Amino acid sequence: MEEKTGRTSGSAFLKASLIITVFILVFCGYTAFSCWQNNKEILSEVQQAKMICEEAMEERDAKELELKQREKYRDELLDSINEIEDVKKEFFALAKETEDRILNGELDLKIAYLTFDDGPYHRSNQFLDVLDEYDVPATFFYLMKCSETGYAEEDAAYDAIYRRVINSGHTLANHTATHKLGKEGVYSSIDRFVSEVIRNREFIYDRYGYKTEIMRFPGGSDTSSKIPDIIPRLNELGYGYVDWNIACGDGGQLQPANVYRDNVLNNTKDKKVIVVLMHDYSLNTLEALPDIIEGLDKQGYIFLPLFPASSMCRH
Amino acid sequence: MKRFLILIEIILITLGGMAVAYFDALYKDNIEQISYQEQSRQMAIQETEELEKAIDDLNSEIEELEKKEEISQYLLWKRRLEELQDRLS
Ligand SMILES: [Zn+2]
Repeated sequence: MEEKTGRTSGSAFLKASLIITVFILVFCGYTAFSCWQNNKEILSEVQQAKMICEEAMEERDAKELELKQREKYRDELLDSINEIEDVKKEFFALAKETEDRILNGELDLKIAYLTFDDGPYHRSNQFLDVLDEYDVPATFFYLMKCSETGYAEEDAAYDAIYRRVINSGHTLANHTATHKLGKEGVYSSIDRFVSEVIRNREFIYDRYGYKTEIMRFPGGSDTSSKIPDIIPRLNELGYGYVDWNIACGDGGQLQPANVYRDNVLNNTKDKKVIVVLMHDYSLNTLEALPDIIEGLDKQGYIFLPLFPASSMCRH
Repeated sequence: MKRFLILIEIILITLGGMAVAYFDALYKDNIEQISYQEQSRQMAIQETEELEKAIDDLNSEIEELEKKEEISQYLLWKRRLEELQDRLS
């Protein structure tokens, strides 16, 4: 009887054990399987994350390379600009030395600074053609003529003229933005005048990257009683001013070309350095220009563009 | 027999537990991987943005310099200098 009971409890234990074992097997199997499945999914997510990350890194590397290339280009530009600046500096230093020696009587030469005021004009290109033909540098005292100041139609053409003046190695100089005279004009107050000069300066600098350093008072430096008070303000801005000692006469009544020519060529006596006032709008001035250049050349003048250190540029 | 079965069960439970622990660790590791990649990606994107800004700044600097280079021709001034030197010698 006891033996039977023992056997029965033995087989029950075996059954229970088997059930538990199977259960454990199933449970472990299922858990492991689902974990594996889960991991498979997450692995593909990892792959994707890696890919996206690599793409972002590649993009960054490409930008890094681009930056390096642009930096190299910038350095090349800087080198080239420095080289040009050095030659220009050397040229103007020599021009200054030449002028000084001429004025001291050490050199048997004379200097002519040809200047053209109030442009740009439609005819300016023809004047520039003549200067090119004779390979003569000059100085252009220009206004701010663009859409903003009422020259919308002429803007493109004038833009090309400003550019040409600078590119041809002439001196571009400041002659105020509007040149307006009279009650509401540039001389109406000191501040108004200074703001006109600044407007012109910023217009030229922003458009062409060219810094003007010389200016001319509209009408000349004895036009207004305010000018002595304006000059220190201009000096603060880094400007010197230039008048003229010969005028061809094209600012007044229209006269024939030969009158303009003679006004210049017959007034050079005893002048070692001349600043000739002309305007690049008059057809008669244009006609006189070759004769003026040839005549001055015969009289022993060399032509230079105005520069701030010149004795003709006052402060 | 009883002991044998108990032993088997213990072994099975241990093995099962180990498998689960292994997969769990793998899972956690992968999750970490993803967040690490995401962090790297964010960093790369930020760096790209910074580089883009630097390139933009550089480009405007270059634009200014190009304007300057365009208006100052080396050969022209070199020739002028030589001509003036000739006149003086
Ligand atoms: Zn004027």
